[in-house]
Amino acid sequence: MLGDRVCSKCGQLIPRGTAECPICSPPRAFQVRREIMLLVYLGLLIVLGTITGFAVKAFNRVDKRIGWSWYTQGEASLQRGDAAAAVLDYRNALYHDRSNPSYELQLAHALVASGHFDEARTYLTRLWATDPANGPVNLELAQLEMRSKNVPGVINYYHAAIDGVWPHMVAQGRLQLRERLCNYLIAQGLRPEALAELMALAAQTPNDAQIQAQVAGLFSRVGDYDSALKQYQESLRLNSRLASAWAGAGKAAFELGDYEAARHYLNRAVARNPHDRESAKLLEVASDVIGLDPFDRRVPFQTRRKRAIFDFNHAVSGLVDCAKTKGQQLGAPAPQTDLQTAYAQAVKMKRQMRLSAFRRNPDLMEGGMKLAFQIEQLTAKECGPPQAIGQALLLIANQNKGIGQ
Amino acid sequence: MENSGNPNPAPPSEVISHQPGVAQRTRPSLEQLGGQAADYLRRLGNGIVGGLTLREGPLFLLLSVIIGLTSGFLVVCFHESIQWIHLVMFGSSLRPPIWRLLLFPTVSGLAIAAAVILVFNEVRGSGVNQTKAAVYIYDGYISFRTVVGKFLLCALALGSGQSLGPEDPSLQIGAGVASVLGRYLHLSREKIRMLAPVGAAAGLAAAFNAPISASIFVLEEVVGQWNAGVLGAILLGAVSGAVVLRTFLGSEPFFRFPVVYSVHPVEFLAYGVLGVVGGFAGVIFIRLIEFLRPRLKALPKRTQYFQPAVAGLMVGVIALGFPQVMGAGYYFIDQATHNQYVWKTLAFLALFKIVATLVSYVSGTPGGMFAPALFIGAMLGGAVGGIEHWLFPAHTGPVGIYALVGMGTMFAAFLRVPLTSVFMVLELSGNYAIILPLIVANTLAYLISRKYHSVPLFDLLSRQDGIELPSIEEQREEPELRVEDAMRRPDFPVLTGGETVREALQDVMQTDRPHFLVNLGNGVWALADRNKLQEQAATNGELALKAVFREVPLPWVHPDQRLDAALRLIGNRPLLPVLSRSNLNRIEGIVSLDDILKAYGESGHGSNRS
Repeated sequence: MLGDRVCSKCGQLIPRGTAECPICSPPRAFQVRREIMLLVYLGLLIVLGTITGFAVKAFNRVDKRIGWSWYTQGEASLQRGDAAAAVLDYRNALYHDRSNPSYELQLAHALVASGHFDEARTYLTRLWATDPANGPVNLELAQLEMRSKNVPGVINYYHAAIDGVWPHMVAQGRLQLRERLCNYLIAQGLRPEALAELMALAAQTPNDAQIQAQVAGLFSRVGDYDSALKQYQESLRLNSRLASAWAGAGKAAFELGDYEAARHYLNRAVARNPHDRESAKLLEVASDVIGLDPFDRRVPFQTRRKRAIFDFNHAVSGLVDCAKTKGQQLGAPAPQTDLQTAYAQAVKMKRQMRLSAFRRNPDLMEGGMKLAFQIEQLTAKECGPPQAIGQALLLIANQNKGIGQ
Repeated sequence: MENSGNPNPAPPSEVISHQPGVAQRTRPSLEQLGGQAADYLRRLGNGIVGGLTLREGPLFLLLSVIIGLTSGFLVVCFHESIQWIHLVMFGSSLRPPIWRLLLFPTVSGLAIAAAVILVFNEVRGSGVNQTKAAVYIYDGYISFRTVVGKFLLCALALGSGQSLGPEDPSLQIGAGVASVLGRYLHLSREKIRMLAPVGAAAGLAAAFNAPISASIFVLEEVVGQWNAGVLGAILLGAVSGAVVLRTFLGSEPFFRFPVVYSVHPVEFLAYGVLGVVGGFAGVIFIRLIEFLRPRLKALPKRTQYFQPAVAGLMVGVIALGFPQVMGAGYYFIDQATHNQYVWKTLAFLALFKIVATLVSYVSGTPGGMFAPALFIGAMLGGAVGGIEHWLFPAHTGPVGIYALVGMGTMFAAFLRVPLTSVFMVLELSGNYAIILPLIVANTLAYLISRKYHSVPLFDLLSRQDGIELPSIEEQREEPELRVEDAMRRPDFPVLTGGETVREALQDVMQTDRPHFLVNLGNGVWALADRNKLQEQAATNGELALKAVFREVPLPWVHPDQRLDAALRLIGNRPLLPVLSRSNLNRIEGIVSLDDILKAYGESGHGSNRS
């Protein structure tokens, strides 16, 4: 740029290769009024802007297409379970379409899957900062917080995910999220927090039998059977053909100790879904409880006494079977084990357990049943959970805890 | 354009023979066609614009916007060109095949070298210095050929993976556009000289998507003064350029950083360490350039055809292991801030980027140093942050924030623009929570760089090229002399306007000074001459001094004024009164031409590089 001549007009150096002073002598063709020149230039500027626009658009189109092809490749890698390859693909996709949050989110997802938690967290935190209501981002962050065992963080991000914006989310999806949060809270032993979640959810649940039944199921999971039963009843009001709702209501009623209602619901559940083994089993137990309870004041005395004898005998035979499996001799002269002691007491009591004896001694039935319940509990402790009748006896015992006290 | 004033006159454009039977016709020359077009335009324009006439003042501001828009469009095209070239050469994957990594940078290097030597000789070198040279030496002149050359060759260099940045060329493209436009609009030399920085700021703002930092950089490094008139125009140009960029490429910043809300006080120590590391890295980088550049330039000219190719090949070889070092590397800065790399990888990336940038730059490949400085700073910052996170996990923030601060430290240490380094990071991140650690780290880095390398990078480059451009850093830190540095107490009695000539003469008899100050009241002062007093005493000794000296009021200065103000005012007067700002009748001292010169002499202003 150093010149070797000096302009005679302005005294400045004229750059090498230039004949005239560039400052003093602009080209003749352009020696027009400044304003006209400016107008012409503005026209050229518009042309330049248009060309720039077209060029940028064309390149963006190509770049986005390339980004999309890498993205689809990443999706395929992720579906194959190759998270490391997916990470590379998503990185390539992002390189070509940096402003695409979906790519970034998927990259974070793949990073989590491939164990790069710190990097994933950075991407997610940044995405969250730009869009705090983004449901998928909050969900990914909640899962990262789960790994860090940061319970308040999990709850916060789950809440944000449940209430957040999802591209194609339906109520069912939010319910599933709530369910996952509840599962997490239950697993962490945070029942009050889980219940609070469910209360909030129940208030927002739409008039959809399926969803109502799902909410009721969640109530069952946290042990609030009263709310669960109400929710199932609501579900059945909306759709009485929903077998799962009948089954759920039956179970809730069963857990509440309302075996009559449980039998009613479970009967309907089994009728609608004969393959529902759990309901069938519960139905059997519920029926046994109803049919074997000697303290049910709605049935005649005679029947109650017969039930007491049956229950006692069933408990003793269960005790004998249990001792057999354990290899213990029940007739031993000096009882050593609990089973032997219980058997000795049972033998003594069995002699009195007759219908005629009940008439003479009304307290005998309570004493016999008390021993029967003790035997049943001991058998369950020694030899595992009993079968249907045994279970029913335990439930009857549970219902009549005050007996003998 | 440079050939518009062709010394060989064009032949007459149209010669039509009037001889019967002879229809000889020559084509009109381009110049004549231009002339006709100009005449037509002139007539058309006069009709359209009529009485609308723009004076230079308003036109200058309007031009700032127009230059900003033009620079913005060109920089966007430049950016897209780099992307296209990169895509064509290396494909769409972040890990290109080996043969591409080795072939394209080498072949492009050959092409670039040939083009620089044969066609675009002005393209070689730093755009910042060339813009400064235009402002300080060539009256704002930057040739159109330089603009075209910078655009094409830098796009090819960066697209083919040479480890350089697009900001410096963008700056010069903007300055070049401004210069060309100013010349074609017949602006005065002064205005053209002022337009170049406006274009530079617009180009840099569009390249960085950071108008405030770009403006500060141009003021800090190119203009060197905070003149209000230039400041407004520069800001207008920069904002216009950035608006164009955001319109076309989106408003998202080039670098996206993790969110940070506060910095733990203990972390300041960590940022201090980062400042020290960044400072030394900057010094090493400058020293390597200082050592290698003149040696490569001194090699026989034929080797210059191969130097960029060899540099390209070396970059390609480095890219086999670390493809991130190719080009500007913005995307990888982004990845580093997102914890993609462990600290060892980051440290290696910083090291190899220094090597790659060094070979690219000293080989004469056109391109800038801004992006590489940012890349190296980000990687160094990330590495330091990673180590600190490893050692003190409880007291260390996200690594991305260290990368961000690292960018600032490298800018402060390597480019030696402390103010820009702070504003740039703030503008790029939009996060003010990091301002304190940023200032701590940048200040340390800057001080270390100054301590161990006294000459800033841009000054070093211009001196290596044999051009003595004003060092803005030296100017900035030059002690500013004020009147109080030169003034002294008056060694003569100060007279008042109410005194008679005879009384005054009695007063001045105590001293042999030839001149005295007369306070005429109301802040009006005059200079009395002993001879004149004696002459006046001989004719009318009872006349009041205010009647004698009212015709010639004396200019005065205040102690806090710059000394050159006194120099301008003193003219051929023997002395000037230095008055209090709160009371113009109270004298603080006097200053004479000897006093001023003595003060300048003592301050060392006489030497070139103090």
